[in-house]
Amino acid sequence: MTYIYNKNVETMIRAGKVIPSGVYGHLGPAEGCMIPSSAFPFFAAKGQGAEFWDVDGNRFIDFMCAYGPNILGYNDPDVDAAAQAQAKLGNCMTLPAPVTVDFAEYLTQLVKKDWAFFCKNGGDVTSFAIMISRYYTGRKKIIFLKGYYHGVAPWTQHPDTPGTIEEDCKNGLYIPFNDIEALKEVIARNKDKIACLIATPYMHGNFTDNELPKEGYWQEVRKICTENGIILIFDDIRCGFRMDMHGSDTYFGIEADLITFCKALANGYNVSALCGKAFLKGAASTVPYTGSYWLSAVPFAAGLACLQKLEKLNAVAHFEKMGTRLITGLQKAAKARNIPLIASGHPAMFYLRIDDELKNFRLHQEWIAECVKRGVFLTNHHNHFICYAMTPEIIDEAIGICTEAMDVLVRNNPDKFDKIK
Amino acid sequence: MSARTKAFVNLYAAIGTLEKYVELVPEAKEIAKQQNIVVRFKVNDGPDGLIEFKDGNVRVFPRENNERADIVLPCKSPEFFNNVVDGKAMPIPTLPGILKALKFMGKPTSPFNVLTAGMTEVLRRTEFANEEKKKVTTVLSFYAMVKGIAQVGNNDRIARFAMKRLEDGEISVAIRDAAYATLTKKDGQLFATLEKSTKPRAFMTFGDIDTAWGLISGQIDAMSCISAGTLETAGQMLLLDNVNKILNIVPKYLQ
Repeated sequence: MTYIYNKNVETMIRAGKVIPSGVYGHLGPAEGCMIPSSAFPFFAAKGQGAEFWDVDGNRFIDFMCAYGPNILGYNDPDVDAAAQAQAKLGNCMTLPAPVTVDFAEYLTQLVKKDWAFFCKNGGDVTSFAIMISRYYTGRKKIIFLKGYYHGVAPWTQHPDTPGTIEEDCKNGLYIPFNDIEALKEVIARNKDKIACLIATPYMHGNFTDNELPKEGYWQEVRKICTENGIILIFDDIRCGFRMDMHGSDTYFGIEADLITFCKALANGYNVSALCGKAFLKGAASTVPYTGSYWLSAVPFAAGLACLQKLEKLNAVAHFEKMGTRLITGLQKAAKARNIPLIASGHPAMFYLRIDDELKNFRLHQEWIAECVKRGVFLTNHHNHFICYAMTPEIIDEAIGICTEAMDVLVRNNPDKFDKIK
Repeated sequence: MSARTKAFVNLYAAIGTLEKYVELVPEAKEIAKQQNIVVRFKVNDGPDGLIEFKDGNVRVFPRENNERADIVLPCKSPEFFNNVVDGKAMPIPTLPGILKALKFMGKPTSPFNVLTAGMTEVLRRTEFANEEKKKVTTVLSFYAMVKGIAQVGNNDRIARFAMKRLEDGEISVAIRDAAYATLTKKDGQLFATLEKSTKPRAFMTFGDIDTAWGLISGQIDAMSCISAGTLETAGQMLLLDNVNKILNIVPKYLQ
């Protein structure tokens, strides 16, 4: 039996009347690449641990983890208790609560930086990092590594993006990831004009095998940036606290000047952080930047509890172990069926892709749809996430469901599998 | 809006849709049969293309191999050519083809003018006497849109950002059971062919004529159709993402 989504569709029809796109952004059917949309739920009724239930009551093992924020498990009792305790004291008040300082102290010690500045979303802190870099250096240009994602602010976009104008993109310099020569060339062509280089710790673009840095890549980038007065910004919004509790710059053996955190910071409570080295603290104090809810106390209490628990549990080791268990199980099942299933990226944030002759993702999308219709929520375009609530039993259950979906795929496409064997 | 891009759209997307107009409308095919002729529009700093009428079929394509033309119609600028298309100007044919040109397009009742006027009337319809008329308008608009994507992608300064990001390969664009076209990125250019894709890397399929008409006429939005499942998108979605960015710019040229 596969799932039916009557109430999901009813809710989407209501949503479409009052909300642009029904569900906009990455959680929606279009940007979320729900292919075909009929295979996917649209609205979650509740979540618990590593699972959520949609409005039709269908249960899903969730490997998207809300696209990252679910790191301990939905409704983690310790994080929720800390948040509720702070809520009783006060949340959004005229003055910040002392937990703001507690959180900043803990976070800066953890990620080996000198200061922390809090906002709400990832795009808030990547934008602030750019502003600080420009103010500090007096330069305009930004180096991006192709395939990047740093939010949707106009400076991150291209001139053809609706709502963006050409002038917003004038100062972008675009080079390939893992290419030191390209970096040297772009710096030589733009001597003393480059404020910063912003990058994710490794390349996890959509619809592509995720690419880890070559040996010594980040060390060389760090050296070149220092020599040329370029601020090195690590966008750790996606990877942060999944590979290393001390930040992904530490994981790869370097020290970024600025580092951004968001998704896993507070297990779903809304807070993001920009952390930096001492020499940029004055700039961070000077650049005007604030928001109505940025100093709300509840997310800070949640974030503090979340980070403390992740550290205490050595969660990153669990993520790697569970990710590896899942990938190994899926690839074993795929191999037995002659399905060329490719896994890439760090096991805590794995990307999957069934290879095919035309490179058109149809077989992969069909398999993902069959998985979702049976209760394992995966996507075809984006890396996945492991959370602490994923036990070996849950992983094994997911492997079983995904294997059944592989059998359906093979049954439905005997001719295609002959071709790619 | 760039006059040069508009000239490419006018020749290859607007006039180019004659190819399908004569296939879909029997009366149009009869008119096209009146004369076998090759017309060349040579636009300074713009397109240099041929319109071939042969046995009732029409083909519009760039002049890349010194193909012979019965009539050469020089246009001093893209703006001038656009005025020609709008009926506000008339190019002076080169001497050898002047008589043929006058016969072919010298008067409102000349075959070329009757065909383009007829097609324009079909494309501009917003109300339909029956489902068949709606289908013809929708399918022709669809073909003009696909050809427009290629021309705008290759020529509009902003759209070219998206076109350059497209990976090589074919994109299938279709109205289910009614119309098929292929966009192909190759050698740094985007090409449109009004045939079913054989090696698609991405798919955009309007579920039916009503959905296609609603989207093309701007009465419904694509995101809602994706949610409802009436617009199917699949495959390498980054290809479609970039095509959509070009498509956003197409309407200002295809008024």
